[in-house]
Amino acid sequence: MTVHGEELVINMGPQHPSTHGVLRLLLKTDGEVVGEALPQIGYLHRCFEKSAERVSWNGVVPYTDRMDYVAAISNEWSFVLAAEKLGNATVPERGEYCRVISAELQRIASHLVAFGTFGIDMGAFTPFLHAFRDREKILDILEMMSGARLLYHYIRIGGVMSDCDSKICEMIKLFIKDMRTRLPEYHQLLSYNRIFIERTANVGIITREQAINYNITGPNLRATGMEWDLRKCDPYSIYDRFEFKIAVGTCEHGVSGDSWNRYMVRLIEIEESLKILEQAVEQIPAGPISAAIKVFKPAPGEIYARTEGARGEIGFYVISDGDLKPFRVKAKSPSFCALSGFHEYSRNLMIADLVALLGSIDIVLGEVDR
Amino acid sequence: MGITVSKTVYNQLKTQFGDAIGEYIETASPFIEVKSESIREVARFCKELGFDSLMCLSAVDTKGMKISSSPQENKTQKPAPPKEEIQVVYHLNSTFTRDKIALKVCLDRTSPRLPSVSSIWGVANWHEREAYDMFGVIFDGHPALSRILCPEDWEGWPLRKDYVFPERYHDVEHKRKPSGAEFLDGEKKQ
Amino acid sequence: MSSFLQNYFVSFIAGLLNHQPLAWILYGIISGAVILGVLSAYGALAVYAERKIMAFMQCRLGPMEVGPEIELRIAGMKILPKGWYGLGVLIADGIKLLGKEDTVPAKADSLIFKLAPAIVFAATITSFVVIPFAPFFTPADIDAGILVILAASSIVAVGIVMGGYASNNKWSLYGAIRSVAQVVSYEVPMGLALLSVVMTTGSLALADIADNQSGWAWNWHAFSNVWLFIAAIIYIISSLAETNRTPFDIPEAEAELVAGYHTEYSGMRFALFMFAEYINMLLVSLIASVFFFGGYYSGIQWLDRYYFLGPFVLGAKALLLVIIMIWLRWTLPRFRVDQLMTLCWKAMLPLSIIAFVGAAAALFQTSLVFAIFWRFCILILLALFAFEVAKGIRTKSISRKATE
Repeated sequence: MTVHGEELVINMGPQHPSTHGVLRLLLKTDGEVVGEALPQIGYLHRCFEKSAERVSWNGVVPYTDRMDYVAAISNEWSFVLAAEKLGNATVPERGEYCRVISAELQRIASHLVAFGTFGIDMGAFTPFLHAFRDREKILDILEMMSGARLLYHYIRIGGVMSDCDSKICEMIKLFIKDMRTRLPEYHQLLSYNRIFIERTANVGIITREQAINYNITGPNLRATGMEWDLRKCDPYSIYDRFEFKIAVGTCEHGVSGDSWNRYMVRLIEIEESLKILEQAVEQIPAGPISAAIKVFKPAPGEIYARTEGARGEIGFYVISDGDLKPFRVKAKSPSFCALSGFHEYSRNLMIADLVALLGSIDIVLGEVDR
Repeated sequence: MGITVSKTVYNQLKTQFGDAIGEYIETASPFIEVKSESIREVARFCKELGFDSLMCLSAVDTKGMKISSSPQENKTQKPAPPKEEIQVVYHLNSTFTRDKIALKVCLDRTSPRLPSVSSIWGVANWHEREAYDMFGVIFDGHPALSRILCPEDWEGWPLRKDYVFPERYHDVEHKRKPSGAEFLDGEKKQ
Repeated sequence: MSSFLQNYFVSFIAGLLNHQPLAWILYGIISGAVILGVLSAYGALAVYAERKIMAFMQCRLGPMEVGPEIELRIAGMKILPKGWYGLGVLIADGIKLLGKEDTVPAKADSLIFKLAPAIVFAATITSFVVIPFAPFFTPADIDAGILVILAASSIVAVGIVMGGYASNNKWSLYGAIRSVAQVVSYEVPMGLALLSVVMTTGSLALADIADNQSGWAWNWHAFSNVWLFIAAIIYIISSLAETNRTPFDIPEAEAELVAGYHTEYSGMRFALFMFAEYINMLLVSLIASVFFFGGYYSGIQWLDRYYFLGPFVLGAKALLLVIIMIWLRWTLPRFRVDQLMTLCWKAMLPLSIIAFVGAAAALFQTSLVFAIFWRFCILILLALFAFEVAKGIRTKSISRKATE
């Protein structure tokens, strides 16, 4: 027998601890069960696309940083890739390696934030601070590389801003060694905690069909067991030189596409990124880091370029009309797509499960609203 | 990979839909032009062909474009500005064959209207709302076409090239004075 | 018998004042003031302990180092080093809570809103009068002491509902509903666990229950037979739920309900809720110590002659349990509402009934063989637990070494 009381409409956000920013969810609840959750976005809209039409090609890059501020370098790379394809710019070998190193470090940093905040969502506070302790080391390295700690403006059209010298490479090697010992600790602390598994396994399932229909990419798609990683499936830059596996949902607990598997994919990806880093630091050749481009002025044309960011496929549709400024920039962000189907896979969850679902999708509102 | 795939897909579409499909122009990033009325059918056909995910749906306002981004048919011609229109571009991706294609619909600037594809790809729902919000493109058959990033009562279509930034919104003045304006005023007063 | 000290004290004052009722009133005021004073000190200490333990577990620097830049010296003697071991945070926190604006939401039910923290606080503190702190000393020696405790702890739930309802905030309301559901449910296994002890002792008075465990540590109820050992574990788990502590902190789950029933409270009203929570932790730990872990008896027979040690022994046991609660809070994630209820009704309730029946059966078997057998079982259980802990510590230290 089911009893239905009166429906209570309740706002989750824009100021709410577990919406990871200024997302507003309109919940229609019946007791603890959420009948429907409608995301309302736009609270962090900063007119990125309009601003991009008014600045030079290189000037857009810092704006892209501010989209996904947790993984800024992935955005930079995607836009720069689009611009370089349009303008037929080539990147020196060492520059490509610097890009890979910075992007993989950024991926790890981003996944650490995802891991930590997901722990908080589940009520475990300690993993968060452990994750931030380790992220701090990455930020130190990135600070040495770019001079900034959050919004880097590191990747420029034609190369990178500054070199990844031997001292930084030594730091990265130390970090890899350190991080490898941390991962078992994380598993001990959170991943295989009985309560954590109870809370996340079989909760908030996104099926593969739903994921493809809503164009969910990145770890969220891989958690459904699908091997889809742009670094392998549509290789860009020099990713074809590195040996690594595509992390997919293990289904050790729960079913594929549930919160636990989404969480686990990120931790496996940290390991894989460490492998890439290790190889990149070993292989990095000598040479210039950036092509000498005085004025970047691509020929008229349009392009859609995409890279594998920490949250999924970051795409930029860029149109040039032969001017010093881009004519139109459209950013496709993975979090925006992941949230667009939220009403569908959040149906009939409990409030606590909704938090697990939202936390495991790992959205960044700066990217959703742009 | 991209070009040959587009060519075969183009041929398939051309035989299926005939006049609804425009010219095919071979470039580094090719696209297929589609008439606005038949976009939903074409989209459905593409999905059946295996293009199961919509990577990106974007609208473009070509007003004020200096040189057309679409390649000229006649290379000897002097590059000319394109027709002023609103374009809606669909970037499709196949997770089976890993192919990508792009469809493009050109619309009238005064009343851009075309059928919605949100019933074919779920993600199109929000992308179309964004295109409506920014360009005023109306998608027929969309379940809930409303503004998504701007407030509900915002006026105008911000990403159109002839958009004039409003000076006030709900009694909040937000037209920025040119820098140093207050100094100039002060000097004049003295 | 157990209120020997109390009667002595009252008759002493009565002799001085020549007025019996006045002596009782004076006694009430003095013992109340002492309890309140000790609890205030404990509240500050518990917050400090929570900060420090959290800081140790989470590699935080603040609670370790934030504090005045100068050493504290009294009469030339160095009392505290630079940073004062983070005690500065505690002082700043106190000033902050006192100085914060006391806000009442415009559409809140003002009277109930203001009353709620007072009720929670008063109800929590009431229970302390029936705790036997030392042999012959219970502030209010009531024959049915345990009933007072159970009743008072239910009133806490009423206060929480009032706070959550009066805030006129949907999240607060959710917190209040969850809290009531949780407290009411967990009182059942908790009551059964306590009842097993009451049955074994044959008395509802806490002093009698404590006196039943004199002598060596294996006379403590928790170690006297397996059934009471299980009851002790059930009690400790339900006491976590009773005090809304992790992993049962769903009424104030910050990720789901912002801050639950005290979302809208600020300043001292919020501090009262917090204070009540910490005092509640001490209370349930005291009860656990009295019922299962020997109360004011140290477990070493020849130490128990020194009665004045009683409050310290009891306090030490209770604080140990409080520290375990803090430790759990910073380790575990949180349950979901339905999982919490499932655990209560489907696991803990049957187990507590089994423990209850077992304890009843054990009353008929008092032979030495059985006594030794039970204790042997408990020893094995404890050894298994210790082994698990040691394993955890070992892997931790291995991974540490690898880092270095």
